[in-house]
Amino acid sequence: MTDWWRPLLAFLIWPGLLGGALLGWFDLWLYRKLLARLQGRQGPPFYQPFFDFVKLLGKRTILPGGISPLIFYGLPLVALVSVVAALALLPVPGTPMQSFSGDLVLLLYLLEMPALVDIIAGFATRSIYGQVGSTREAILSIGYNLPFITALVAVALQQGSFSLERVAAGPLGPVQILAGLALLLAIPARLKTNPFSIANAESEIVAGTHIEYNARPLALFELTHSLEVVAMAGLFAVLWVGPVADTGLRLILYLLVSAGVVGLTCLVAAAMARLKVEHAFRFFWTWGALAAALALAAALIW
Amino acid sequence: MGILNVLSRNFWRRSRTRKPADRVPYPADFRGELAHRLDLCTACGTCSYVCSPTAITFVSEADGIVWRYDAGRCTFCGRCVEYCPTRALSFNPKAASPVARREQQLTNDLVPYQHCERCGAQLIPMPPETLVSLYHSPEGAAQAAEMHRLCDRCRSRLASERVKSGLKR
Repeated sequence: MTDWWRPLLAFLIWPGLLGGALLGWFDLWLYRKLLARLQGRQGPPFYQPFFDFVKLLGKRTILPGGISPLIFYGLPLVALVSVVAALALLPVPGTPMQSFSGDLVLLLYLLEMPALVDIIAGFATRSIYGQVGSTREAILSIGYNLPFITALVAVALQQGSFSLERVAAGPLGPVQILAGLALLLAIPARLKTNPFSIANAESEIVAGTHIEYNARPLALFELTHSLEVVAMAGLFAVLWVGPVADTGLRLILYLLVSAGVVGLTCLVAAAMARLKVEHAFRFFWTWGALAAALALAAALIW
Repeated sequence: MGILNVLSRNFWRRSRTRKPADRVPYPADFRGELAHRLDLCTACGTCSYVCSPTAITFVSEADGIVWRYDAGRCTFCGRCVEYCPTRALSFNPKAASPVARREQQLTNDLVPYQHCERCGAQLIPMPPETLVSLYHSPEGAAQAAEMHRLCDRCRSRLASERVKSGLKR
């Protein structure tokens, strides 16, 4: 097994756990600061997401009654490992990872895991709020996966390969633009921001799926969320900056486009209220389906 | 697109909230931490008498009287400050800092006994500052001060001596 260190480096350092965590905390801060300024508030200092994570790590974990410790402690670990592995697969500029055929499919599976783990966690905690949150997240995932997966399949279809490197290196054309639009429709729902924040609707169901989670498992869930932000923004960014040749320039553009996606998500979240789950589902299966169909049609034509 | 106008206005204007370090200043007559001046206290007991939640008590010791104040019981009503005859009690313009232990809220201030110049009995004399404000001038206060450094028996003896010497003429 030559180059065994490549996946390990990608998993642990860049674009995996360490690099992803730092970038994720920056993205979270950017989101919260921009949201605050749009609402006329100050917003947190740049080290706040890191402090929140450390604070949660230092608390005492309370295991809720009636839940198996294996599930309680294991689910956040599964989610974290999945999203770090997904990040390691992304063809980010400067990644040591070598792309292989079919890694786009693996990426989609791995990115699906955090949502699935959230759903299981909500049901496993036996809290009514958790169960409602899980149901809503499950329904929403059927909605947002339509444009999300179809957009990526359309780009792969146009490039003729399921290898992420080939998909990312493709030139910017109408397929990439339409697929990017479909992705942008799905990203707020994956990140659980308004108008698709129904799964963790604080004023309705307290914390939704994470209601019984506390201290270290919750810290892992929050870290998973910040890595998800990096993964989603990064997935959009690699599609757009792939054709650029110089690695340094590509990295800067990648960071800028990621920040841009986070900023756009924040703007949408500040401007819109929460949709009900049936309205969100209908939205994804009308407009999301239209965007997905357009992207697929463009891939078949061009 | 009214919401976008609102967001744009919020973004380009200053924030409507303050940063944590940028505190609102305390009002001028804010009833903050209670301050007790030992040089003005005569342990008369008025503050303890008027204290609504009995946060102030007096304890006799061998060498003086202890003014005991429990900030945890205090309601900051201000009756002690209002009724103190020597104005030994006042409010700080800032609130007290939070404390970690209950003992940090208890204050014990010893008002020491002094001794009568003639007979050596224990007494707590009237503070010089109070004398100045009572007699409206430092000179008048200086004349009265010699009387106020005596215990009440010696003071009445001195007063009757002066009356007798005045009558003899």
